[in-house]
Amino acid sequence: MIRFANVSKVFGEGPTQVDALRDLSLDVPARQFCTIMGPSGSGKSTVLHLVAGLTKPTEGEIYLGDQPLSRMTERDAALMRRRELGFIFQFFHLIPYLDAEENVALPLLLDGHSFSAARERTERTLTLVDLIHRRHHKPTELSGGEMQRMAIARALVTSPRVILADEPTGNLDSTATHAIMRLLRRGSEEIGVTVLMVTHDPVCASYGDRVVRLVDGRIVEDIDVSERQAPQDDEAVGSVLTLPREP
Amino acid sequence: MVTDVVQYAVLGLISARTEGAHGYQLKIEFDALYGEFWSLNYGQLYRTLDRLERAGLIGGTEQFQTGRPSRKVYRITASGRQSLDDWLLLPPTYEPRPLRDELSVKLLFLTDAKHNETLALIRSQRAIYLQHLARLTKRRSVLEEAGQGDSFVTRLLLVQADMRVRADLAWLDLVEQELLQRSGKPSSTSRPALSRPR
Repeated sequence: MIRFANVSKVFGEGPTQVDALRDLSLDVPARQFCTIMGPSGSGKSTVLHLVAGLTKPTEGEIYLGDQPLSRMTERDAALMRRRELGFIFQFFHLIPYLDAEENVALPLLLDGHSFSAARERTERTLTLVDLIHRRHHKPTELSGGEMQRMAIARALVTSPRVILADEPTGNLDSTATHAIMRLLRRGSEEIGVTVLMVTHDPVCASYGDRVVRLVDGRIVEDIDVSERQAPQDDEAVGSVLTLPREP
Repeated sequence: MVTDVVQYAVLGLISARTEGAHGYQLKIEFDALYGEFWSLNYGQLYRTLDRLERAGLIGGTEQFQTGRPSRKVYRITASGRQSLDDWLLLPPTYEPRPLRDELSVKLLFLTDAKHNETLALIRSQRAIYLQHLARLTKRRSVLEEAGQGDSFVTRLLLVQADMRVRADLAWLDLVEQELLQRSGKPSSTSRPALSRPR
């Protein structure tokens, strides 16, 4: 669904040149929930920005489905962002003077849907994220977890093929974090949307199928965490719970 | 003298049942209470019951069943109840145990010459933690769907598990970062990879 073929991205030039990504190749199949981790400055966010078409690669090509992004016109790229991609951010980026229903309906209205058509899909999506009872609340009247659920509804309402999430729980407490991650997991399993998520938090990453770690713009680890059945060896889980501490 | 935490966990379960409990019931209760985070197989359970009985903290009586083998029903004794009460209020003696895990010991003796191999060890350890964490998350989801995630003890244990894994992985990140920072610097001696540069 998302493919990076030998992608490099350089910001600046000369002494201030930064190699954000170096010859990166990555293939995220449809319906996969893939997490990108890595230290600050490792290129994680650049990966998301490139998929979103917010910046262009210095070398290499990025494919969404079969389509190379470099061959898209600006107009096609804008349409693709609106219809095929859903975005979830750390700070929600909701519109403060619109209520939940209006925030979620907005991408549909921008895409030319009628109010009545948008309302039906908006209600369905707000129900999915368990926020229908808050439909007439504005973002400031909601908790952080509820605001992020509103943002997830806004991302899902257009039935995108891909969700791009940038630290979606970075601003939430532990309970809200798990609720948001369960929701993304359900989106991936039940709706079949492909998820590409950047996070610092290994607990969030553990909801996905795969963890790709970047260091200095290169993939240094590609870890399959999709084996989601209960462990055969109970001591394996025990050791996570009782790892000896460093002083 | 009973010192093992497992023995007190079992003793605690028996103390809650004035009518007594047999091994199978205790196994079910143990699994339910600890939300499967702490696994106790039947062998361990029966060995624990034997020890508690020999120490006089529980008493077992044979219960005959028609058509089936008899089974032993255990009740807590007065001395068992006293021992449990004493133990509950005793400050825990568990101390951090540095350098008891395999990776820490390996890091002590790995040298700069094995830089890439050391990085590979850190990364394979991280993969193992993340895979364990994914299984733990799956269990959490199963528990929460079954409505057990809200239980006071289970919820606190889950939070503890999250915090520990985050700390362990953060430490691996730090080790990796320091190793990478050192890698640019040439080293003539074969000092341990993590010792401070002079």
